[in-house]
Amino acid sequence: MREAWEGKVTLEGIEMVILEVRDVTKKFGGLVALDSFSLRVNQGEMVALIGPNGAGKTTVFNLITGFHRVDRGQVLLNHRSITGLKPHRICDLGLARTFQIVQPFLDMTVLENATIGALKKVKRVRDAMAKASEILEIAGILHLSSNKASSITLADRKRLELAKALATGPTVLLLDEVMAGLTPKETEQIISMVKRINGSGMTIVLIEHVIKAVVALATRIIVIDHGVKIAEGTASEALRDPRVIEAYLGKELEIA
Amino acid sequence: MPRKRDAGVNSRIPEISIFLLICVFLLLPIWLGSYYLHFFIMMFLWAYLSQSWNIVGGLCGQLSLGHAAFFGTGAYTSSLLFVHFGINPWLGMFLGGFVAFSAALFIGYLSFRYGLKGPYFALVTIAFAELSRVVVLSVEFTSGPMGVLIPLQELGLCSFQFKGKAAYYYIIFAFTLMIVVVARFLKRSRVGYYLSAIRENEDAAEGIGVNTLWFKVMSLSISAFFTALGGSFYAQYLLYITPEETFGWHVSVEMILRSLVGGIGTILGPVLGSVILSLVGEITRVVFGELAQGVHVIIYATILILIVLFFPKGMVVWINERGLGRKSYPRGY
Repeated sequence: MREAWEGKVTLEGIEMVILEVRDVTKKFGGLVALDSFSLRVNQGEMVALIGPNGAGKTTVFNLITGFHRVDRGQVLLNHRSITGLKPHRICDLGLARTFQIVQPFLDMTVLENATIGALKKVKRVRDAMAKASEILEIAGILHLSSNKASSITLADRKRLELAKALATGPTVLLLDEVMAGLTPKETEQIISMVKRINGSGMTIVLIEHVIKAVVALATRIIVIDHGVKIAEGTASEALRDPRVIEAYLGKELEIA
Repeated sequence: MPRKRDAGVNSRIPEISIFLLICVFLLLPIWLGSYYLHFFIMMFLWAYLSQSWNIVGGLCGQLSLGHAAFFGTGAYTSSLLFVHFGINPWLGMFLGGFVAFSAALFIGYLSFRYGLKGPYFALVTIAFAELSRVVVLSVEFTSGPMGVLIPLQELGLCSFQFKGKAAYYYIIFAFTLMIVVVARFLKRSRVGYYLSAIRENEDAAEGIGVNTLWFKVMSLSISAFFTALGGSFYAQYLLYITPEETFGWHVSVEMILRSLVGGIGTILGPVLGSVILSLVGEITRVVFGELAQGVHVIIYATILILIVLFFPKGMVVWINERGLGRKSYPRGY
C-alpha cells in the first residue's frame, strides 16, 4: 500500500493539483445546495471543509464521489474529468470516502469489511485479506478482526469506516466527520492516525465539526455557508474572518 | 490474515458426515421403491431450485418472488423445442437456460437500472412471472391450459427418458451437488464478498468500489439460468407440463421457503431446508391426510410457522452459531 500512497512526488515550489472542483452547482428542487463552488486540493495536502449544519459540506463529497449528479460544473481528479461517473468507477480511479453516518456491513466480520475494500486492488481473496489486516493494524482495530461489525463500538466503527476506504488503495481520501460523537481521548487517537496517514503521502479532505481536530490537522481551511464558499486560508486566518464568525460561530472563537 | 484453522478431529466432523451422506444417497436407489424414489427426486429438485434462487435471493439479497418465470421458461423451452422441432432435450435444457438468462438480464437491468429495491423489485418479479404465466396460458404455440405432453421416445441417456426412477434420481442428485459446489465457490470468491456487501449495504458497497448494478444483474441471470435447468429436468421427469404447474405462484414460494427454513444465504441451507420441508410435508400428508380434508395442510403450515419463529435465520445459521460447524471457514456453510 506504500506504493499507492506515495504516488507523484511534489516538485519543490510547484504545487500539483490532484483534485479540483470547478464551479459546481447543485439544486435539490428549489433549494440551491451548492452555488458555483470551487475547490482545489494539492497533492499531499490536508484540507478541512467546515461550515454550519446544512451548509452543503456533505453535498460537496456526494458530488465529488458521484453519489449525486452535478447540475453544472466539473470535477477533476488528476486533471481528468470524473463528472457524471458512477461511484464505483470513481473509487477505481483512486478516490475513496467515508460516510458521515457509518455504513459498516453489519452482518460481516471486521476483517471481511476491510477485505471488500482491499479486493478493489487485490483480486485474490487470500491476498486481499492479508492487505486488509495491514490496514486494520494501521486503523488500530486488528484485534477486532473476527468480531461482527454489528458488535463493535461507535469509535471502532469510525475506524472501520476509515479502514474500508483506505483498503481500496486511494490517492485521495475524503473523510466525512470521522470524529463526530467520540470522546476527547478517542478523538485524539483518530487525529494522530489521520496525521500518520497524511504523513505517508495521502491527500486528505475532511469535513469536521471538532474545531480542535481541524486546527490540529488541516493545512488549509475552507468555510461554506448556504452552499457558498465564504472563506479560505490557514486555520487562524479562516477562523478569524468576520464573515465566518458571523455565519458559523456566532461569536469570536478562542483558539487554545 | 485468514483465520487459523481449528486443530483437532472435531473440526473435520462436518466434512466427514457430508461425505458419508453423499455415499448413502448414492446407494439409496438400490433399496428404495418407486414411491420413496419419487419423494427423494422431488426433495432434491426443490433443494436444487432453492439453492439456485439463493444465489440472487440469499447471497446478493435481492428478493425475487418470481422465479417461477425462469422455472417455467426452462420447462417450456426444452419441451416445446422437442415437440415442435425435435431438438434433443439435453440441448433444449441449455437453450432454456439461456432464454431464462436473457430474460433475467432484461428484468434485472430494467429494475436495477432504475434503483428498484426490496419490495419494489419483488413486485416487478411477481409481475413478470404472472405475465409469463398468462402468455403461456393463452398462446397456441404452447397449447395454452392444455399443457405440453412430451411423447415417449426410445429410452436412454440421449432421449432424457429412462426406465424406472433411478436415473432421474442420479441426475437431480448430481445437479444438487453441482449447485452446492457453485454456491460454495461463489460465496468464498471475490464475487461472493461483493454480493454480501450489496446485501448488507448497497451504498457502502458502491462507495467502496463495487459495481452494484453489474453484480445484481449477473447474480439474477445466473440464478435464472440454473433455475431453468431445473425446469427442464422437471418436464423430462413428468413428461407433462401445464402453465399452472410450472409458472404458478407456488413454485416461487416453494423455492424461497426451503431457503428460509434452511438458512438464506448459506451453502447448505437450501438443501437442509428442502429435506426438512419434504419430510414434514410427506409425513403430515400420510399421517393426517385421511383425517379430514385439509387438516394435513393446517398442520404443515403450523410446523412451518414454528420453524420460522424459532429459527428465524434458518437451521444452518442456528447450527453454525452453536459452534457445531467448522469455524476455520471464514464464511460458514
